[in-house]
Amino acid sequence: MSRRNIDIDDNEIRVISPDGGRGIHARPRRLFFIATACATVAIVALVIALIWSGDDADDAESEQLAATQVATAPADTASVAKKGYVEITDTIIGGEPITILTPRDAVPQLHIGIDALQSSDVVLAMQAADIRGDNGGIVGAYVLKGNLVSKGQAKSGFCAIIDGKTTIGVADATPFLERAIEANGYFFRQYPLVVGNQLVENKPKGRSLRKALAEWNGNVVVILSHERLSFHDFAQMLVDMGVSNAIYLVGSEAFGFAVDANGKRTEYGKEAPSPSVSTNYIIWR
Amino acid sequence: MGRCLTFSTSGELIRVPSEAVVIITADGNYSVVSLADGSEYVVNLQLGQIERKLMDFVTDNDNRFIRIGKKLIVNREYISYINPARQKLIVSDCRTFKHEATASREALKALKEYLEQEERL
Repeated sequence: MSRRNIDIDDNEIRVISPDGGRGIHARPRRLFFIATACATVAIVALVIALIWSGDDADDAESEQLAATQVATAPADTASVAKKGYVEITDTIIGGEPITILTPRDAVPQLHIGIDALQSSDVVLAMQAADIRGDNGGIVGAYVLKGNLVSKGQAKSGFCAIIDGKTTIGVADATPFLERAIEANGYFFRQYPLVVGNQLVENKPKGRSLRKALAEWNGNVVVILSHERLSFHDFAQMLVDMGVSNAIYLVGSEAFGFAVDANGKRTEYGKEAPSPSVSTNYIIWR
Repeated sequence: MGRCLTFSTSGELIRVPSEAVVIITADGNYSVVSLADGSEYVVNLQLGQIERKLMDFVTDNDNRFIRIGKKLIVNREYISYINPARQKLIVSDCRTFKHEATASREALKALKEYLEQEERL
C-alpha cells in the first residue's frame, strides 16, 4: 500500500489519483476580502485617533473597558449550559455486588452505530437491542427518530423514549410503538425483568453478566451485575432493591461507558473488534 | 463488471466492483463502505488507509473518487445534491437508494465549485 502523505483538513477536498491528487479549497470570496480591507483601514484610523486624543481620553476609555468587562462576566457564566453526567454507585443487594448508573441533566435516545462511542457529549452508552445471529439485523421492533427500522416482537419487554420521557414496560402489542413513530421518538424491545414490582420469568437459564434498564426511585437507571447471574436471580435482585419496572440490556461483555461529574469515563465490557452495523445503543447526552 | 476493490481482514474478505462503491465514511478506526445495492460493510481500516488503497487502484484518467475532509470519500458518479449552507450532501442513484452525509461548508463549497468547473469543460 502506498505511503504517500494524505493529510487533509476538514475544509478541503481531493480527487484521488495515483499521484495522490492535490487539495482543492473553495475560492475565497471577493466580498470577504473587501470587507476585511475596509475593517483593517477603520481599525488603523481608530488607533491613530486614540493616540492623538491624549492621556485623559486613554483613562476614560480604560475605565469604560474595565466596567464593560465586569458587567459581561456574570452573563457569560450564566450562558454556560448545564453539562450532563452520571452518578456511579457501587453497592451490594442481597449479597450481589452491582453498579447503579444514574444519568443527570442528560436526555436519552437510541443510536445505531459505534460512532456514538466517540461523541464527547455522550455521558452514558449501553447496548440496547440484541442483534440477530442469522442476518445481523436488530431483534424486535426498533424505532429510531420516528423511523421503524426493524419489525417483530421476539421479546415482550419494551422501552419507549417519547419527548425525552422514558417508559419501560411489557406488552406484546403496545400503543407506545405507534406513539414513538408519530412523535419522532425511539423504541426497542428486550427481555422483560420486572413489571409493577413483580418478577418476570424468562426462558434462558444460563448465567452471565447482566445489565438492566430500570425505573428505580423515580429515576431511569442502568444496573450492572458484577457476577454472572441467571435471569431469575438478577430480576429477583432488582425486585428486592425496589425496582418498579425493568427490561434487560445486552449483557455479557457488551461494551458501554459512563462519564461521571468530574469527566472521568468508566468503561464496561469490551469493544468488539468488528462490530455489526446494527450494533445499537441507548445513550444519554 | 469492472475491477474489484478488495478489503481483507483477519476474519473476512470483502470484494466489490469499484463502480458499486457509493460512499465511504470514517468511523473512528473503522470505515463504513456503502454500496449501490444498499448494503454496508464495516472494515477495520481508517479512511486514510482506504484512500491509499484507492490511489493504488485508480488509473490516471479515473477521477471518480473524491476525498471530502477527514470523514468522507465519495464516488462522484452518485453525487446528486450538494448544499454547502446546510452542510448537506446526498449520494443516490435516483432510483433505489439515497444516502445523506454531512461535511464542512467550505469542503462542500469546494466540491460544488469543482464539479461545476468540470461540467463547463
